[in-house]
Amino acid sequence: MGASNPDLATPSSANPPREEEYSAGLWTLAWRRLRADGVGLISLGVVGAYVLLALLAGLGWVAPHWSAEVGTHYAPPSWMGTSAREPDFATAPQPVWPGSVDLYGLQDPLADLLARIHTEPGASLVLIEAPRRTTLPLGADKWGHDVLAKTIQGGATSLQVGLFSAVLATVLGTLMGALAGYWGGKVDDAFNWLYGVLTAVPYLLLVFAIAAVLHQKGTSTLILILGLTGWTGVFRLMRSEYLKHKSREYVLAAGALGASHWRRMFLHILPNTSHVILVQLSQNVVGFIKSEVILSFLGFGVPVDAVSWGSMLNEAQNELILGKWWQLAAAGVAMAVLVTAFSLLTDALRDALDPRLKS
Amino acid sequence: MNPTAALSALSQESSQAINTPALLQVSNLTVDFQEDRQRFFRAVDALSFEVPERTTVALVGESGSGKSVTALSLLRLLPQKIARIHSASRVLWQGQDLLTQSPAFMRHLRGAGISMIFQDPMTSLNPVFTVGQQLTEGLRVQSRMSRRQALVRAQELLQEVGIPEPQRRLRDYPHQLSGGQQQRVMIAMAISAHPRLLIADEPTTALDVTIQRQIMELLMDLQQRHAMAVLFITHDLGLVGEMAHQVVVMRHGRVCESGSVSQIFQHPENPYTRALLACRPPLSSRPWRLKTIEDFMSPTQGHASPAHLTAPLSGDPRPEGGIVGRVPVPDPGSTQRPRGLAPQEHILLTVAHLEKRFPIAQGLFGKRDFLALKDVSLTLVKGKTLGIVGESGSGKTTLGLTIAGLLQADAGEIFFAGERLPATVGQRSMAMRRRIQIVFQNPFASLNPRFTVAHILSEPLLLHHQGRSDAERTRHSVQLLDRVGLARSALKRYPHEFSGGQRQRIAIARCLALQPEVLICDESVSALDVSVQAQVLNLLQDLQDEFGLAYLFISHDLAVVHYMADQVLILREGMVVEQGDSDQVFSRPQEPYTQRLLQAIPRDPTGVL
Repeated sequence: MGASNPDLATPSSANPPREEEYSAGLWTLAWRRLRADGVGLISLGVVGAYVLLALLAGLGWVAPHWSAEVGTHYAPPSWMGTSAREPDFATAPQPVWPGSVDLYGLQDPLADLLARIHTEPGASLVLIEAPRRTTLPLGADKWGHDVLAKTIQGGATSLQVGLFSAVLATVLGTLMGALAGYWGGKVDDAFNWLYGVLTAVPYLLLVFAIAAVLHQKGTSTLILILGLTGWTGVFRLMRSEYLKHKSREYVLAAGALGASHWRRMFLHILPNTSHVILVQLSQNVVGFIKSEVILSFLGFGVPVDAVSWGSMLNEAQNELILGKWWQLAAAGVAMAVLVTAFSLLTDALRDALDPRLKS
Repeated sequence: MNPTAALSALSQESSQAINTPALLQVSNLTVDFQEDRQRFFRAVDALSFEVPERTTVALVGESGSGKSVTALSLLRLLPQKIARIHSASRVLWQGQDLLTQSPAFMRHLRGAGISMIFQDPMTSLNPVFTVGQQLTEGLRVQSRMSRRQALVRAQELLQEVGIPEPQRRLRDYPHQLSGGQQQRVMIAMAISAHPRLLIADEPTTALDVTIQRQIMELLMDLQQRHAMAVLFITHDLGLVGEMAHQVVVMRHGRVCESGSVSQIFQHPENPYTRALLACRPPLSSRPWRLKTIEDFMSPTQGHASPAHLTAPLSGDPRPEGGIVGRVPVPDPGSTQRPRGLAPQEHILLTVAHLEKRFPIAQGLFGKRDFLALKDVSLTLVKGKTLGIVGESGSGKTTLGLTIAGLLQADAGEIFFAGERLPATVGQRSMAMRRRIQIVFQNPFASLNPRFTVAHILSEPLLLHHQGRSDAERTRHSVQLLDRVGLARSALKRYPHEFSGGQRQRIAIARCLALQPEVLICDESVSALDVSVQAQVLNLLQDLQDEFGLAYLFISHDLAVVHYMADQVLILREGMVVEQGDSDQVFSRPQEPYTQRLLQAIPRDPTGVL
């Protein structure tokens, strides 16, 4: 311990002057601590860059034409050169199309979509007659879509799903946890029963069940599925927070002053649990981005006219057999970086928001 | 032990002790804590003292004075990452500097040479091991005994520290013992390897006053029998007088004064020592105002709390205006404050046959009721104070919360000025809620940490639709702050920026906002340091004089209740043991339990306190 230490530099001051500081609230203090945390700050920057890129992509300012077939069939990344042999379409046997497909009385589930594509060509699918490029920055997929544009657009979809479903799950979990923890008794029993039932069902089975009930594919469906199944963790934590806080003296004092239950629950206790909520939210974003990828991979994800990292990975499994690894790499690396940065940010947030304020 | 006998014994002892070489010599001990990358906080500053053989040295100080840090640094138990001990520091144990010894040496020294007992026995014992396992572990490691030998020795040790049926207790888990017994087990563990020095860090602070007395007697007895030296760390000067031979008074990590007990108690030289001795409410008299630390320290010295937040409180803090004429202000130094009731007082609050049960789980599905309050009846008179005294678990806090309506009574009635009060605060009208307010024990927990002081003070006004605009409510908040002795600049700050006493002032101001008639003070000064306690008690007394508030003053501290209360109610296990005028109960207690409580109050043998 101390004695073996080299002589210390004299401390800047025995009692650091705090007087001149203006009252820093929790968020100011948290921001100060986060700023001092190098890893946290870098992760915040990375996450911020992703969100910005996703926003620009969503607005159509970046990579709007991801579905344009700009490259040749499996064009390799530029830095690899055109070593890949161009397939000879002229001599290849032409597939014979039957005049019409017998659907045995079933309705074509893609009929609406195909009709839309036929009536408004170029709205989502842009056919470019210009000569296709033999290489692209990150290569091309089977149809010649630019993988870079796909990754950016896919990121926008994945982030959108992750953020919105995390917000939905956190709001649901917080609300239910607050009610259960604050009121206790029968209310608590009811919510615990719901929680017990939901967590007893295997997760993927539950997801499939909800997907089957909702009966349509789409980004909003995905958000609903993840949000409605993902609130359980938040619920458990918020319930225990409310259990803890409702008998704290400041809540009792508010009650003695005449504050209503509503006021005590959401004006007094909620701000004191905000650090838990924020950390849960960011943890859920990470989890749901991964879940979206799994769901899309299993075919429950985004519709065919949209792209997400999950659908890219789904395509990549067939490409990998052919040795076309670039789509897998692009989506995988993009996701890994975001998820890692988000997780590190969550850690940093947890440290920064530690509510044990100096006493 | 008889106090006078103790005193004569210790005066012989200390004169002899001075001639023997010191067992432990601490010189120039300086400890810094790292707050963040650049900032350090100096917890102990160039501290020097000695512990001679077979002597009890008391390290006295208020919270933050560095006394516990000192103890931990002697044993090198401070967290290495954030605590730095200066290289000029020396801790000489029989001539060897402990700060430079190897970890193996220190491991051997802890227990065999120096051992330590801590404040809270509940957390110092491991809850998943039996008492026997924890006691024998040390014996087998330190004294290399076999399992059987260790068990025999453990039984002897339990017998020595006065635990009945030691054989059975060895198989008990810590939660099966009472707090006093747990502390006895800790002491047994500490003396198991025959240490030469026992460090006792606030060993009785978490215990009730009657248990405290027993533990103190045990420690004094063991010190004599084992010829140990004891470093006794405490904030309570009353205990020091009974226990110690020599005293070191610490403040802000520095030594204020040190010397023998009689010297410190009878001829204190340092103003801080004098203040500490004078701030405790005396049991023998009842001065009009308690002396506070400001009465002794010059303004430059008195930096116990962030001074810029405290508005200057002159000797008479009452605002100018009509009220002053009503309040007699005699000379605060000499006049005694009369207590007790005059005939035909106006009864404000009547509690009749109050009962409160808590269900506790029993077995797998069973439940049984724990009776926290049994048939409690009391009356509170306008403008007077009813002191409610009891040990932990006596139901005094439950009583306060039930009257405030924060807990629902299971039976009994509460009347306010003749009107029957609904059981819970939610059922009471807003006008009723306004009239009864409560100040809690822990000022760190009773203020919402996310609210600014302005928000805290304006909330009651907002809830009760007082004040037409934010500006008006702010004006009112400033008046409230001024009344409790805080500056206007406090408004924009958060609770964590204030010291304990200042926070308690804010909590009191929040209650005052509603102009209540009854204020329930639930251990409101117990968490405060002695010097701050006197200030808050004076404030409460001023407010009572000014606004005619009636106090329900709940405390375990008999001296404080004696000072504050007109009437006293003694609670034990949820039942009223004795009730009556303060002077009568304190001077002529009728019940044996009350007598035991009063006898347990620490009194120093010199009779200064």
